[in-house]
Amino acid sequence: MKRKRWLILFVLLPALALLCGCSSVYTNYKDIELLQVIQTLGIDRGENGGVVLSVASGGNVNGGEPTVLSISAPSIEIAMEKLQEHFARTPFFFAHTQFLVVGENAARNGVSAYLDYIRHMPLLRSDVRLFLVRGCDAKTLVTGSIDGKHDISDELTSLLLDLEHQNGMQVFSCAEVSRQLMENGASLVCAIDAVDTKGIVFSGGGGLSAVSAGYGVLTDGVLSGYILGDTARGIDLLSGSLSGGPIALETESGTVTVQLHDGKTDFSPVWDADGNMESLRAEATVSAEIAEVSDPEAAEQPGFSDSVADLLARRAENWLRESLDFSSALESDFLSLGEKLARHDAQRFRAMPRTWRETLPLLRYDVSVKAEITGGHKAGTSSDIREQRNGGSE
Amino acid sequence: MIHENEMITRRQYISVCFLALLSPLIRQLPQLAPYTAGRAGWLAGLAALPILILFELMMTRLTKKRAEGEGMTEIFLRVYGKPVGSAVLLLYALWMIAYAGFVLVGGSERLLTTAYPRGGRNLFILIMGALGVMAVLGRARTLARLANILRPLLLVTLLLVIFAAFPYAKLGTLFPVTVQDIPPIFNAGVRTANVFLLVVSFRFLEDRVEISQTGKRALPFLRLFLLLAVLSTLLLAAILANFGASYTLRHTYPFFAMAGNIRLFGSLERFEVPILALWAFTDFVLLAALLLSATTIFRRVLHSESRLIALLCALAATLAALVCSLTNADLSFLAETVFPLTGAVCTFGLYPLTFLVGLLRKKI
Repeated sequence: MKRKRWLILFVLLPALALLCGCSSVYTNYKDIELLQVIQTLGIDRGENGGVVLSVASGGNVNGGEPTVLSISAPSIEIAMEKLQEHFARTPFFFAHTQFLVVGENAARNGVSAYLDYIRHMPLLRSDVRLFLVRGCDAKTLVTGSIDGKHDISDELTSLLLDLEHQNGMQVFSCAEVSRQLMENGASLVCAIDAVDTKGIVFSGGGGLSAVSAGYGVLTDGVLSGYILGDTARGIDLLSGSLSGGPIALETESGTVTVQLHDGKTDFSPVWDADGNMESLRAEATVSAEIAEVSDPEAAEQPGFSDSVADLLARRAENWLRESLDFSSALESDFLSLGEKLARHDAQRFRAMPRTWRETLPLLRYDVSVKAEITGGHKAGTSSDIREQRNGGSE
Repeated sequence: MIHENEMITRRQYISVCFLALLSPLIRQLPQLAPYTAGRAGWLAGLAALPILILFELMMTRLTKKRAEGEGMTEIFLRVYGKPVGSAVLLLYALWMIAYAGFVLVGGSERLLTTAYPRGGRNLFILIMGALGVMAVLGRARTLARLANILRPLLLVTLLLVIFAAFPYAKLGTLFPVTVQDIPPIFNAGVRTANVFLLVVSFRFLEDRVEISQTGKRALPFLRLFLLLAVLSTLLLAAILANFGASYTLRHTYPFFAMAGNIRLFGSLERFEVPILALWAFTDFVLLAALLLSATTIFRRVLHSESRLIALLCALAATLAALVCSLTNADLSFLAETVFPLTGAVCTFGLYPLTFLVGLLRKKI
């Protein structure tokens, strides 16, 4: 019994020592009320292969100004350390970082090291959304977007909602980009432009804003090109994520705006006698509705919907061709075609004498699109009302 | 002779086995499955099931004539005779202590990698080692009750993480599974079975387990293996659908990376740290079960009930862990080669050999 009491005391004493609080044992203790939660990181290539790290905290719930800083260092880890040293009163907290913005110059030199850092660093989530800022460095956008109570984090949050929920464009996370680079040797990344809003009336103070530009193409981790504007919809159509977003079509009677609903593409490879893939048939379907017409009377004419559908189909066909041709020209499988085709016919794909990397530049594409106009704008009520008023005659 | 208040129910015993296996389930499976079978590695758990069932049927036959209060130690001694049996058992016990040391250093490494990148390994080893001392000096019944209480909590947590991760997953990338995937899946199944059959080390605690009144001695373990096969399939499917095979292999702990990316109700996130804290219980149960098994072996072979044996086993494991830590031993080499290989020798070599010798000598 006496021995048991000594044993209990022997065990309790070190436990009591640990009850002094985390700061007595752990040197990385931080008071939660003082934490500065960083929502956006910006990375640029610095001098001598180092980095320029920019951070933005997002809108402050207490109404104060957001924290936006930038620092140069040999590496991201050292940059974070230096930032912390300079601002010791407000410890930075990176665990809830949502966005990573990479400057164009940094992307042209390769993003693999940054993605690898995100992957292995427990402080950062690997599903941080990745943006590539076109024609500009990340520091300019991150530090230039501050506007009183808001900064780039708020911009990117709104942009993300807009892109994903309204336009159906994809904003890939660092984990997704890394995965695509490892599996396909190439990946897409959401490209944005830094736009000066000072000239716009009621812009709320000026500064830089982030707008969607399309997609950047990374091949072996290095930026190799862009797919911009409407052509970017080809990417979404090929991946089956097309949804939402207006398209203006020029008809004989004026401009017709259609709102896309969804679309998908089915692939059928065509094999030659040797077992190699010689061409790829892509059959896409797109559905949309007419949102606005410039000539309501023309919209009442029979066959109007069909003509709009034809125009839409031809436009979508161009998107697909440009995206597929770009992939072949760059020899970059950013569309993950290899993965899709391997799933489609795994046995034949694996048995190909040529590798997929050798096949892609030689591939011919046979693209066809079927567009369907469903519901939507009901034009031409004015002439109906006139007929009723006049008892059925003008 | 085991005292009545040391006896544990079969349910409690299975809870100990289940909790102990959750540690290697999270640590080893997400690496070995995609490494061996690539994209199709998610089927490793199901592929392991036939091997586990066959092994359990063999073990049921091996322990058929076990009397109440008799454990695997007595069976080994009966089969091999006292000199050879004692030598084999002592070697096996030393392996268990070495593995317990590895669990200590592996667990602390996991805490550092996932949550405390600037922390020191040795503090965690010492704390867990101290807990191991308490566990091994205490009663097995306490450990079994703890395991029984924690089992539903850990099972629910694991299922929550898996199902919360599925919305982020691209399930289509798991298919198709072709004929060419079958050999690597089978290979992954064998390695997975090797991981799960660590449970055979805990059979040395069976002298404390109440004998089944229904006679269906194999059923509890068969149910346990079925549960583990299903859980591992779901877990691997979630991880591989989220990260893909190549990217999964770049993670040290893909399960916690996946848990870290989960966001519930649009705002609750970064769950991996409390989950990591919960998984420290599985390390503790695994450590305690290994040390208790090793202690049981030493006590039976040396014919001594001294508590000093238990204390020495725990201290030896802690010392082994500290040596690994201080010498910066290659943990990957230990985790991927040394312990799986030696574990396979014990599991797929020693037990079938014991079974055959026992049958030939008519000792079982």
